[in-house]
This record gives sequence, C-alpha cells and structure tokens, in this order.
Amino acid sequence: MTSTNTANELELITALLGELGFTLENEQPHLKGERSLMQAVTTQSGKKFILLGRQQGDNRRVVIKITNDLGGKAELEHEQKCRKVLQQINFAYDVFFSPEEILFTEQHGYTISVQAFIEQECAFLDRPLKEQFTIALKAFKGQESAHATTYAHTRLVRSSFGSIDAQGYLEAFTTFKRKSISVQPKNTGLKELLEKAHALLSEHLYTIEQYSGFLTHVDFVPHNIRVSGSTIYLLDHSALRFGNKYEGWARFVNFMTLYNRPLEAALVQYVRDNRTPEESLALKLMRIYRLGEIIWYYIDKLEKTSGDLHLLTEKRVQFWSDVLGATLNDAPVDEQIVEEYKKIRDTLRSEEEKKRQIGLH
Amino acid sequence: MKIVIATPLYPPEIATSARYIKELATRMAKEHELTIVTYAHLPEKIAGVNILTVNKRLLLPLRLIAYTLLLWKTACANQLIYAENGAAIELPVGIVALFMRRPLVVHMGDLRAHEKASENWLLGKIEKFMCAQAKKIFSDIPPECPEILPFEPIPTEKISSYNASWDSHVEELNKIFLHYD
Repeated sequence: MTSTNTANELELITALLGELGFTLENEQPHLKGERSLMQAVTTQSGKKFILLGRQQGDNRRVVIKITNDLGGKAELEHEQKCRKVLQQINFAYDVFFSPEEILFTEQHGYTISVQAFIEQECAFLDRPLKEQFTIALKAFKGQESAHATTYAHTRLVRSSFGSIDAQGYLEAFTTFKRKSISVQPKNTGLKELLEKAHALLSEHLYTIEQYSGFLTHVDFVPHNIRVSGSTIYLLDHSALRFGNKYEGWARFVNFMTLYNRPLEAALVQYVRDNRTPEESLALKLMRIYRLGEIIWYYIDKLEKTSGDLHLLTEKRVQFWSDVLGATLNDAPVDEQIVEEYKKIRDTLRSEEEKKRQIGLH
Repeated sequence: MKIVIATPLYPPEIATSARYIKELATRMAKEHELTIVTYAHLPEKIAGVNILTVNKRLLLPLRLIAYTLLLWKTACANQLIYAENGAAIELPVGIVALFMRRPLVVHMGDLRAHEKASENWLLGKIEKFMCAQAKKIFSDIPPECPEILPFEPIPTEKISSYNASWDSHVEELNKIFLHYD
C-alpha cells in the first residue's frame, strides 16, 4: 500500500466514520513504522486499519478496526465470533474480559468494528516486575481454565476458535523448517538447529498432546492486553485458539527474552517450581515451536524488505536462531547476544518506528 | 488394600478436585494398590498407580455406558470404591456399588458440582442415588498446595501446614478404609 493510496483511503474512511458518529484522532500510532509494513506474526493474513478515535457526543475514546480487504474482513468477522463464543464458554472456570463492542457493521464495502478503548495506568513493561509477573500469571491461569474436553465443548469451539493438536504443531513446524532451509540453503547452522528442534518435537508428541485442548492466546504479548485496575482485557480475539496450554506462555516468554529477561526467567522458574516436569517440557517444546515460526516469519520477509529494514530482518533471523539454540540446550540466551542485538536493532530502526515503540509494550 | 478411585476430573484438568485426586493417589500409593477410573485423554501418570480412562469426547450416553462398564470391571478386582463427586460419575458409581455390593466411600470435594446438583432436579436425584449407596460420605479437603512465587520467599510454613493437613487426611481415610479391609 503506497502512502498516497493510504492517505486517499484514510480520507474516505474518515468521512465514513463521521457518518457513523466517530472522529479520528490526529495521532495514529498504528499507521506508522514497521507494523504498517509487516503484518503480525500470528494473526490471519488480512489487511486492516487500526485507528484511534472518539465517539461523537460523549467524546469517548474508541479503537476502530476497518477494512475492505477480503482477508481483513474475514479476520474481523472471525474475531467477533470468537468474542461472542468466549462469553458462552460455560466450561471456563474464570471470566475473560473483552473491551465493550460499540459497533460492528458493514458499510460501503467496509467491515467496521468499534470497541471501547481501555485506559490503563501505565504500559505493561513500565509496571514493577512483580506486578508484571502477577498480571501475566493471572492471564495465563484464566486461559487455562477453559479446557475443551467433552463432545459438547469440542463442537462449540471447533467452529469458532479453531484448534490444533500435537500432530498439527509438528506439521506446521515441518513447514517452517522446510521453507526456511529452502530459502537459506547455505545457513548450515540454522539447518542444524531446526533439524534438532524438529527431532525433539517429534520425540515428545505425547507431552504436546497431553496439554492440548486448552484455550490459548497465540499472540499473548503486552500490546495485545490492557490492564485497568485488577482487570485484564484481552485484545485481538482472532489470536485465540484451542491448543497446547503453553503456546500462549511460549509466545510471551520468548517476547520477554528480548524485552524483560527477569520476567522470562521468573515465568520459566514458576512452571518448574509449581507444575509437573512434563509441563516444563511442554513449555520448552512450545517455545521451540514458536521460535521456528518467528524465524520463518523473518526469513520470509527478507525478500520483501530493503535497506535498513532488510538488514534488521537478517539480524532478527540470527537473533531468534541464537535464542532457539539456547532453548534447545535448556539455557537462557547469552545476555551479550541480547544486548548486541538490541543495539543494532535501535540503529537500524526508523525514527518513526522508534516513536511508535514508545509506551507500546 | 485394593481401592478403585472413581473421579470425573483428573489432571491435566486443572480443577481443584482433579488436583486433589492426583495428590491423594500419590500419597496413598505407598500403602494401597490403587486404580483410578476417570474421563481423560492423556492423564498425568503417577508411579505405582494404574490409571484407566474413558474418552470424554464420546456422546454423553455412550461415555456413561463406557464408564459404567469400565468401573464395573475394575471394581471386580478391588475391595472398595472411593468416589469423588461429580455428575459424570455419580450414576455409574451408584449402579456399580448397588449391584456389586462393594463398599463405597464418597468424597464431596467438588463443591461446584454439589451446588449444581442442589439446583438441578435430575442432577440432585443422581447425586442422592449415589450417596444412598455410600457407607461413608465426607467432605474434608486439605488446602491447595501453596505456590512458590519467584519474588517471594518460599512459604515454608504454609508448605509444612499443607503436608501436615494431608498427613491427617490420609490418616483419617486409612481409618475408614481399615474398617472394610
């Protein structure tokens, strides 16, 4: 999407939203930086605008998701369905919170979803470490409390969230491995790592399956949740599915490898201290699976990027490969590797992206 | 003593009653020969305990029949049935205890299931039917295992009290079981 096209489309969208009683804010963080160039790792491949606005009349702040792209529309519809089913899950022992849906409509070929903006006291990573841990643990426990086990449960969730079992994880990882190796045939180090990872996942399919059937948010990272008081709101419901209960943990823990090492260590230690050895193994296996996914995601982006973003994408492939190597060896990745990567990343990021990152997590 | 434990929930289910049964079996396996009959796909294993499962994904009538048959077969080779309450096992347990005349001890550990039974006529009748076959019904449950949290000192006192509470629970159960040995 070129910037001229984007500007024209935004003008159209602004008018459309005006008719529906919403005004856009001047500052639109989601239109800037890498996010506008690369789509998220895990969400379905739809294109959409995520905009901040105000509801006319009461001036209430809202988040508007709007798209006329077929994939994007499917994603928004899927997300709405997931939000509805989430409220019906009577086999969940805890309650999930979602931001209030103000409007969901189809207008002039656009699917529009408007939700209340959840104000939070501060960004997740700005909170004290102990509080971050408590929030994360509460959110994971909430997800784990929904376990699709009976015939009725499975029927209810199959048509909405989607599900993946151990074989599904292995098949997906096989694809990440095959494609990564075919794009980078000379990267023997990566090939070796991916083959070792694949062998480990194959060996422990039983453990992966044992903890499957749980509700898990596969893009569980700070920018997909908001915390207000003691309530955690889940954003991006399209990233919910029934799978291994440590898949969401794995995404979060891998993310913290880069953003908050003590929290990464604390979560791994918590599972080690309080859950069965098989569960610690399940977390490790899911971390490996998600690392394979992110490595392929960046390898796939190599030919679609240029300049500094291309260099940064190369560095990302190397960095996540290093994390995969460490995880396979049951060791945390060397702090020096993380710090050096961060330094390079910050020199290669555009000013716009650096601005977008402030307070994002 | 040979005991069959009938439970609707068992880990990896995370319900309190599921964790209770696993902890109970782990602790009692040293003194008794235990078999757990539960609804599960891939249950967590316990050294020295036989775990038999019924596929929970079967349609309700089919899984009730499958559970009843499995419990019947297992009870034949055991001296006592220890049942954790819950609608999914109450009818099979009641039937097996009634017709096989095996002593039945019922543990009302799942308060949520008990509440549901008191609100629903049919579930209430099923629960009463199972309880009518029981030689002993009790509801004592040791506290949940204290969590070890990364930024807090290890709760040694709570862990000691948790272990003591379990010791006394197991002792109480052993006294009950001894009566039917």
